[in-house]
Amino acid sequence: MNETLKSDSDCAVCLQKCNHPTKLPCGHVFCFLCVKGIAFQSRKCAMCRAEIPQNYLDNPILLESLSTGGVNTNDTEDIYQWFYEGRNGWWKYDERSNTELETAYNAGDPACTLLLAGTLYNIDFHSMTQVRRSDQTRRRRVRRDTPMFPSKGIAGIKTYNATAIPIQTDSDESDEVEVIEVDNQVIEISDSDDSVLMEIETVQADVISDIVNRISAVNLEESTNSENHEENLSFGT
Amino acid sequence: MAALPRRIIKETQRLMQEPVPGISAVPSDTNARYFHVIVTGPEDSPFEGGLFKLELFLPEDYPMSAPKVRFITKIYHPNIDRLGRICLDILKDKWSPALQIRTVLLSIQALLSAPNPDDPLANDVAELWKVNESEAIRNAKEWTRRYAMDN
Repeated sequence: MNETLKSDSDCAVCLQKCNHPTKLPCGHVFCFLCVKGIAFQSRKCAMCRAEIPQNYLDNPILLESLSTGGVNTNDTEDIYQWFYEGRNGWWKYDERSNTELETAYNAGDPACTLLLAGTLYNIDFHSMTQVRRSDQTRRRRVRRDTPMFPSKGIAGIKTYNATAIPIQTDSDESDEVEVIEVDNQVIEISDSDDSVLMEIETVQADVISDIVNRISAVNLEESTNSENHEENLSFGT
Repeated sequence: MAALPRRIIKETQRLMQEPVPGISAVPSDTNARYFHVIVTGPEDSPFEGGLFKLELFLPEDYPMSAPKVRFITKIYHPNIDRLGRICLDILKDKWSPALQIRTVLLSIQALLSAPNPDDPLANDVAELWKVNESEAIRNAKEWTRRYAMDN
């Protein structure tokens, strides 16, 4: 089998198409949220059991820029985006969870259950809260708004300018996920806002500048406040 | 009931569409996380000809944690105890979320072909397997005939 999995193949953890494909140091690729799940659980790659470095999630290797993918960049009026509250701002749910939430909400369901990073959460549409099923004290507020509502990023992946400018997107109207050529061209984004590290051997200059433009609008750093997938919010109303 | 994660739906569909030879796993009508499993005893093992019933349960945080699997049919095997509990590393510390129901059941079937008395769960069985293997195998065949063949 090919050691370096293509980012467009199925994720071995959720068995779906890789959502925000994320590459571990051993070369195996999973969804960002699946990596988050295994990093909390066993700290080992699900394919080869190579140890995942302690601080990997502070500095994950994402194979696609945040500007790709459907609902989060689509500003048509009839598409809603779901958000959950973090410290000092709101996060967008990932595209897949957003679709599940919208489907349940539009069907008139009172609540929706999501498996996020290996943990089950209930999202209650009446109280607009997200509660961890195994620990009911872990709750956050959620909201349904337009995709333009200011957010810190998607599912814990930070965008560079959190509140003002939406991430630069492609003029291409298709919802096709755009894949940056993966082999030997991993784009590593460090936690400092300005430094952009790339191992690039064969990309042409215009492609590079295109990538740099998009990457510089993105900061993938997950700082201490989001080390845990959620925070304790009080029960008080 | 809580919505079933898509991964479990996919695995279940695949188990139905492309069943593993010698293994059947059918979800319960009332709980889609609970599977009724039948494993056939591997050829050239003392369990050949037997049909072994197991139960398999997917915990809430599956696939981050391993399925819970237990033999219901009595079996004479050094790594399976009286209660049907199985000593198999991938069900414990060697679990990986890239493993699936089908790979777990294949590993259990392989364990029937390759008993490991050096890592025992049923101590008396393991002891006999080490000091008198032919008698242990006779016992295993006898248990298979008695408990795993009557229906």
